[in-house]
Parts: sequence; C-alpha cells; structure tokens
Amino acid sequence: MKVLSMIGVHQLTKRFDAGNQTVLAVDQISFDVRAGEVYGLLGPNGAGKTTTLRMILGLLPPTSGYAEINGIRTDLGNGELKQCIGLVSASANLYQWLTPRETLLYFADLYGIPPEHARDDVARLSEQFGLAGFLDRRCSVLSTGQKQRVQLARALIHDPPVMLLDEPTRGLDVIGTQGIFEFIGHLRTIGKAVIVCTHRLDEAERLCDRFGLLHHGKMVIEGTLAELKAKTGQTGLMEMFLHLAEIPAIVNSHALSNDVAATNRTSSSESEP
Amino acid sequence: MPLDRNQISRFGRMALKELRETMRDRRTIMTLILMPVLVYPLLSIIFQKFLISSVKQTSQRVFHVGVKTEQELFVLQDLLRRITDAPERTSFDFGDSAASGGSSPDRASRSTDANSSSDAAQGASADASNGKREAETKFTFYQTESLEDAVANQDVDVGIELQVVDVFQWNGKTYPLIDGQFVMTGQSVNSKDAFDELDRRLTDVNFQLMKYRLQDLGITSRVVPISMGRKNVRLTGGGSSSNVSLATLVPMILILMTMTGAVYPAIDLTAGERERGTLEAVMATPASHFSLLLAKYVAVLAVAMLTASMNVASMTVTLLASGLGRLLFGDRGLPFLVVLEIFGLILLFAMFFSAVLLIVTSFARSFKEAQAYLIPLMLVSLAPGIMSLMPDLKLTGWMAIIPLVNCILLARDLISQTAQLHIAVAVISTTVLYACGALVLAGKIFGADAWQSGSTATWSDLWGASAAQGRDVPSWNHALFSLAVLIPVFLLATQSTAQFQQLSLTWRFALNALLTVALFGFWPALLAGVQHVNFSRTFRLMRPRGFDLLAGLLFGLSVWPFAFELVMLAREAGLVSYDETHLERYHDLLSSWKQVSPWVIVVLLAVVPAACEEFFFRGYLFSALRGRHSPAQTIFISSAMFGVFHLIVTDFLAWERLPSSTLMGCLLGYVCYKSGSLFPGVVLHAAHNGLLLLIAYYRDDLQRAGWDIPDESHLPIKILAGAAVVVLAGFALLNRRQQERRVF
Repeated sequence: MKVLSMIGVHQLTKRFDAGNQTVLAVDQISFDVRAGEVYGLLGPNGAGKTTTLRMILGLLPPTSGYAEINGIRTDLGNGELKQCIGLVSASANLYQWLTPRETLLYFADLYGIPPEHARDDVARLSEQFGLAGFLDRRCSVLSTGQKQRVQLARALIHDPPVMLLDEPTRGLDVIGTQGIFEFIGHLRTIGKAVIVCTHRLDEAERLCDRFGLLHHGKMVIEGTLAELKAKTGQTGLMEMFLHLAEIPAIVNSHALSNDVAATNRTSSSESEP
Repeated sequence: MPLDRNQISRFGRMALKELRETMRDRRTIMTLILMPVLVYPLLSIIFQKFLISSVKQTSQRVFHVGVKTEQELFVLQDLLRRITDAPERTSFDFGDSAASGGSSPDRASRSTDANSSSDAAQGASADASNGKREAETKFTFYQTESLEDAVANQDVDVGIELQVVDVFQWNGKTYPLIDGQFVMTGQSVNSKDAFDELDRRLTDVNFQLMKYRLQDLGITSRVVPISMGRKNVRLTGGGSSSNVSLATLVPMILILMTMTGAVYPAIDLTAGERERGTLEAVMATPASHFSLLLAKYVAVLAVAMLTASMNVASMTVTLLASGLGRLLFGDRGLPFLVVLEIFGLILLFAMFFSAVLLIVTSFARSFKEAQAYLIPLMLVSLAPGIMSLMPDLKLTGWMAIIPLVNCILLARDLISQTAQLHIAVAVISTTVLYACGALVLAGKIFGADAWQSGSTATWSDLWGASAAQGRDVPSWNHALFSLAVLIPVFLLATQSTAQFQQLSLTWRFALNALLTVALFGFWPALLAGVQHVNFSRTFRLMRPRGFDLLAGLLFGLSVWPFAFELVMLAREAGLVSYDETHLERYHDLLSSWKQVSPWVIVVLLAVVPAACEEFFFRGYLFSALRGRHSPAQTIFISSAMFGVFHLIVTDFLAWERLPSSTLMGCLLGYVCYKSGSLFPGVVLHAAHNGLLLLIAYYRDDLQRAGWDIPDESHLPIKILAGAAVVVLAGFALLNRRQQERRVF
C-alpha cells in the first residue's frame, strides 16, 4: 500500500525578472515528504532552497508547477492552508518590545486559536522549550539561544502537521545547534512532515531521512542516503554534490567552505533574487 | 461575511499588540510628550516676540521727524497738537528725551544732535502716557543741522522746514502763516508714509485755518459741499480678518503635529518590521493582509490622536498662560463645542493621513528608505497647509475636496463660527472616502512581498489583481477604492462643467452626460479590465426576462408619488433644506429648459445617467459587496451609498431627499437581485427619472389641462392608490417565477 505524502512538489518553477534579464531560480523540481519524515533540501547559497520553501508556503506564486499540502494546492490563495504549516527561518526575528509570552499569544491570535486555549499552549511550549525563566522579559534582552527557543515555540504554537525550517542553525553556537537537532528529532517523533533547508551538508547527513540536492535551481539528485550512495558511488553528501555539480572538487570545496564561513559570520538573508 | 464577536475581539488584540509595541518604544514617547511640551512654549515666545510686535506696529506707527531749529519744532508741534481734529490720537516725543519710549535706542544714539524744548517734551510725554486711548500715530522729533543728510542716512524718516511769514488772530489767539517744504525720499516706505501722514495733517490744519479766516470775513455758513465722516464697524464672527487668519494657525499647527505623531509608528510598524525581519513569520500565518494592516492602522491612528490630545493640552495651557488665547480668539475664547469639533476634524484628517502614510511606508525596504519617501510627502502637505492661511480663502466648492486644506479651512470657519453645514458634510464625506481609498491601496501594497527583506512592489501592484486572481467579481476593497476616486472627481468635474455658461443648454446637457458616461461607465469598466474580473458577471449583463423588464417599467412609472410623499414627510419632520430662493432658481431653470427638446432632456438627463448609475451602483459596486455580504446587506449598503451620493452631488444638501433616494436604491437593488440582470433596473431608473423630468417640463401645460401639481402639499389619495396598484403589479411580475438566476 502506497503511503500518502503530506507535502507534494510538482514541477515547481520560479522565474524572477531582474531588470532586462530573467533569472531561473527554481527549475521544475519535484519531490514529496511523508508524515514523520525529515527531508533535507540542500545546496549552496543561491541554489533555490528558500524560494522553494516560500512557494510551498504560498508566500510566492510559482511561475509554473505547484506544491500541495495534504492534497491541497498552496498557490490558490487559501489562507486556511497556512494553518497546517509552521515556519522557522534564520532571517526571521522577534518583536523586541514584546515578551515571549506576548509574542506567542499574538501568533496564537493570528492562527485563530481561542485565547483560553492559547494560554494552555503557551504553558505547554514554555515547559517543552524551557522558556519559564524569561517568559515575561522583553525579547530585546534575551540571548541568541533564548531567542531561538522562542522562535521554535512560536512555530509550533498552532501544532501544524508540516514544518518548514530554513537554515535553522545559522548563527548558532554548538549548544544552540544541538538544541535544533533535538528539536528536529522531536518533530519526527511526533509525526510531523519536515523540510529542512540548509547548506550544511554535514549537519543534514545527521538529521534527514531523505535528501534533495539543488544546484542552480535544478534538483540534481534525490533519495535516501543509501540510494544516493548507490547512485553516485560517493560516501558523503559533500562529495556527492561536488561530483554531481561537475566542478573541480578542490575549488568547490573551498568555495563551499567560504560560503559556510561567510554565513556563520553574518546573519544577513540569502542573496536570492 | 459579517464579523463575529470572536473575530472582533481577536482584531482588538492584534491592534493592541501593535499599539503596545509602539508605545513601549521611547522614540514614540519622545514625539508624544516632549515635542508638544517643548514646541508650544517656544512657539508662544516667537509669537509674542514677533507677531504681537507686528500687530502693535499696525496699530501704532512711529514716525521720526527732523527739524532744523527749536523754533520750527515748537511751531510744528503746536500746530499738530492744537489744531488737528484728533489730538488725542497723536502723540509727540523727542529722540533724546527720557520719555522717548517709541524710538529705538539705535536711532536715538544716531541723533545725538537732537535737542528739544523741555516744556514740549513734558507735554508730549503727558500725552503719550495719558493711556486712556492708545495713540495710532506717534511723532518723535529730532533737531539736526542737515535735513537732507539725516533723511539720506535714515536717521529720520522725513525732514521739515518751516518759515513763519506772517500771523493772524482768531478768537483771541495768534496763528502763523507759514511757507515750508518736506525733505523725504521715495526709496523708503517709512519716509513716504511719514510724508503722507504729515501732509495730511497739515492739509487738515490748512482747512481748519481757512475756515477761521473765512469766518473772519463774515462767511459763517457751510463752505464745503461734501463732508464725509467715517464709521468703523467690526466684522461679524467676532474678529477682524487678520484675527481669523491667525486663528487658522491653531488647527494647522495641530494638524501638522498630528502628522508628525503618526509618522514614526507608521514607519516602525511597516518598513521597520520588514527591516527587523519580523514580517515574514506574520505573513506565513493565515491572518489576512488587510486585517494585519488594519490593526497597524488603528495603532497609528491611536498614536496620532494621542499626539493630537497632548498637543491640544499643551497648546491650551500655553495659550492660557501666555495670554495669546485672547489675541487669537478674542475675549470670549473658544467655546468647548468648537474645541470638540476641531478635535473631530483632526481625527478625520488623522484617519486619512495615517492611511496615506501606510501606503508609502509599506513600499519601503527600511526605516531610512521610508523616511526618504516621507520627506517629500510632508513637504507636499505643507504647501496646502500654508495656502490655507490666506485670510481671504473661502471654503467652497473645490476647496472642500482638497485634502488637508479642507480640514484646516473648516477648522478656521468653526473657530470663527461661520462654517456652513453642507460644506462641512462635503469635507467630512470626501475625507472619509479618501481615507477608505488610501486604506485599500495600503492593503494592496502591505506585505505583498514580505518574504523579502526588501520590497519589490510597484505602483502597478495597486491596480493588479494580485490577491484576487481568479475572482469573478471585484473585491470589497476595489469597490471602496472605486468610490473614493469617483465621488471627488465627479464633484470636481461637475463644478468645472458649470463654468461653460457660454455653451447652449443642449451642449451643457451633453457635456454632463459625457461626464457621467466617463465616470460611471468607463471608470468601473476600466477597473474591471485591469482586475481581470468576469465582465458579464460583474456588471450583470445577462439578457433580461420580459416580465422583469415590464416590472421595472411599472415601478419606474409608479413609484414617483411615494418618493414625493417621502420628501413631504421628511419636510414635515423638519428636514427642510431649500427656501424660496432655491424654489425660484428651480423654476427659472425649468423655464430655461423650454428652449430644449423634451427628447434631448429625457435622453441626456434621464436615460444616460440612469444607465450609467446602474452600471456602477448595481453593477460594479453591487457585485463587489455581494462577494462579502448577504443579499439584504448588499442591497442596504449599496442603496445607502446611492442615497448619500445623491445627497452630496447637489448644489445644496437636500436632506429631505435622502430617505427617498435611499429607498429608491433599495428598490433598484431588489430588482437587480431578483432579476439577476442590470437591465430591468435601468428601465426602472430611466422611466422614473424621465417621468419626473417630463412632469416638470410640461408642468404649466398640465396645470392648464386641470392637473394640479402641488409644490408643498400631499398628493391626492387617488393618485397614491393608483400608484400602489401598479407597484404591487410590479412586485407580482418580478416574483412571478422563483427560478432565480444563479448570479449571486
């Protein structure tokens, strides 16, 4: 019996007009993610990962193709569909003048959760993510790790079946990164369908059940780690990517290392069109 | 779909979050509290230093007069004081005397050679300090060797040389006969004014002396044919025109400060959120962009009004403490009701301006970019604000629909208690419409691309159907926007066409018809085109059923008596807007129509407007409303808009016509709903208009034929009964088959 996918992406394409030229950011990619599965959407900066996430989320209309959540297309402006999706993005921030409690209650309102339920949800998430010590302090005075925990709690306030994580470990130290890993493991355990976008291929190997490698907007390979190994004859994701991208390995590994270093230095958003 | 209680309280919490976020920011508090506390005392100092001294200058002019000798000084002073007809309105002083309060220290020091008679100085000083009536003109005298040099160096305004050539006696006193000349310069306004004033005074003296000499010769009867006096009256409204223009400053400053208060939160809650990266997560939620924007709008408006309240409080305290209030508003001060009205006007303006701010700031990628966009907007806003300070500017017609100017001028008229109700209604309704239109535009811009740290939205996004792709009919926002543009443009355009008095009546009718087609036909069609909605469905262009057309015709021919009765009942209830003058004008207008063919009148004044208004109100607007409301709500809202539109487009506000126009809108909406087609309503509307126009056109003929058409009394019951039968027949036809078209 075929297992139904929670997230389906079908020939999804996005072109941006940049002055006189057109940039093909995402080029006919397809994949699906089942409930309880963590899917790694991987590739260097500018590969089209975040654009793909935004099309899945319905924030960006695709040029062609479509994405669907639980069988419902996301490009038809159905606001209720957003109820099914939680988003954690490294480029997102918190309201500095609000406390974590006020932030969580505000998002509960935006997701249409009745106030009496929202208070229970905040208590539950506070315990789950250890927010109790700073729940009523302004977000502007919180540490990076504390802010990250508030962001994770915020993404789960409406208990969505689908979670999209965009560069979730960017800017975090070792302890913060470990917290994210545990969080993703927890999402898998409770049966969420998860897409993790990252250029940290080493991290992805530890986290994800299946992988899609993007390069210049194209899906160059997709499958489980075992399937990828069998297809490419390479042992790690980094080697696979360099092999499939057909670029001299030394230059590319250097470029990728630079990418990683640059990304860790700054928390600026991706330079996708 | 109507909002339920949960949605309203949810929206309240969203707005509260925005307000909380803004109010916790110390920069908001700075604008809110510190600015008013500092600005008004500073402004009052500036007022007192410059404005009041300039007011004093206009009421008391000081002229500096040079003479060569002490004897000349004595003669001149004696003449001016004793012979002029208004000695108490003139005072004299000396440049180096202790009593020379009117002369500047600078000038006194330059006139070191001035000398004077101590007796005269004391006398003049006594005059000046008399204090019972404020002197209008003050002369300060200086003795100097060379009058030419003194005038050329501007040590004095004017020099005067006098030579006594003889004397004469009258009534026991000795009077001199004098030859002399003025030394003045045409390059100085003060010199010319001083010359004019002295010349006038000496002419008066001459005239007086001539009378004395004629009396010496035995001529005691009246010797001048014309003798004119002068009576000075105060302007109605309690102030002079200069006071009124000063009073305009108050609302202008308040409105400008309110604008300042709204700027920071508007930027912070839109471009600021985008810059800080908090917007993307919000846009990923199911909350609609418009509700998010509306919450921000409420917060911006609240801060703007808090700023306005702080400003009103600070201004009141400053005016009371400094005594400026009396100068600006007279002894009576401002009635509390007027203060409330001005506050309401500020709220109205803040509603509009906050929405405009949100349009601009929603475009910006960052705080800095938003500030760069807003600087030109603020400068543009200053221009009409300054224009409204002109004392002779009247709030009529065009002025009533210019944003900012209309609010400031209305506030000025409220202060001077000369505001007119129909103009006030025009100002309020157009500003509310502008606010709605601006809010709709802001809603289309806001968050359209929140996923980006920067906006790529363009002005074309305002027109496109970005959020409503695939819709069959326009959205509610589109409807508001279309109305916000249509009504002011229509008002402007109809006033413009009124200027073409040189054209024949037929051409003027044709011009009006063309205008109606352009605004009520072309404009919604254009919007429908750019929004890619289903044209036929939006405008209900389905082929009508014959019975529905017949029902429309029956209604059109039979509802006029009820409309007339409603007007009469409204008048009896006290809603009377027109008087004998209006009636006279109306009858003159009807007489002038006789030169035009009745067919031209029916086609251009009845059929064309009816078809075009139906196209807009029961086509575009109705479809847009129906997408969100129940049939009953849609009919009610569209007919209310129809009624208000007919109220404000007339020359004066005919309040008594509002109920009948609104009910007519209800009937048209009902016919449109039941028939599913626009055309029965067009027939109804055209027949109704056409019949009324023909009755007015043939009024005299009908009266000659024995048809009594009353102006001011109820219709005979038989007419009402007959009309009721026809109306019922119309309803029966319309409901003949319940198989409705699936248009709604």
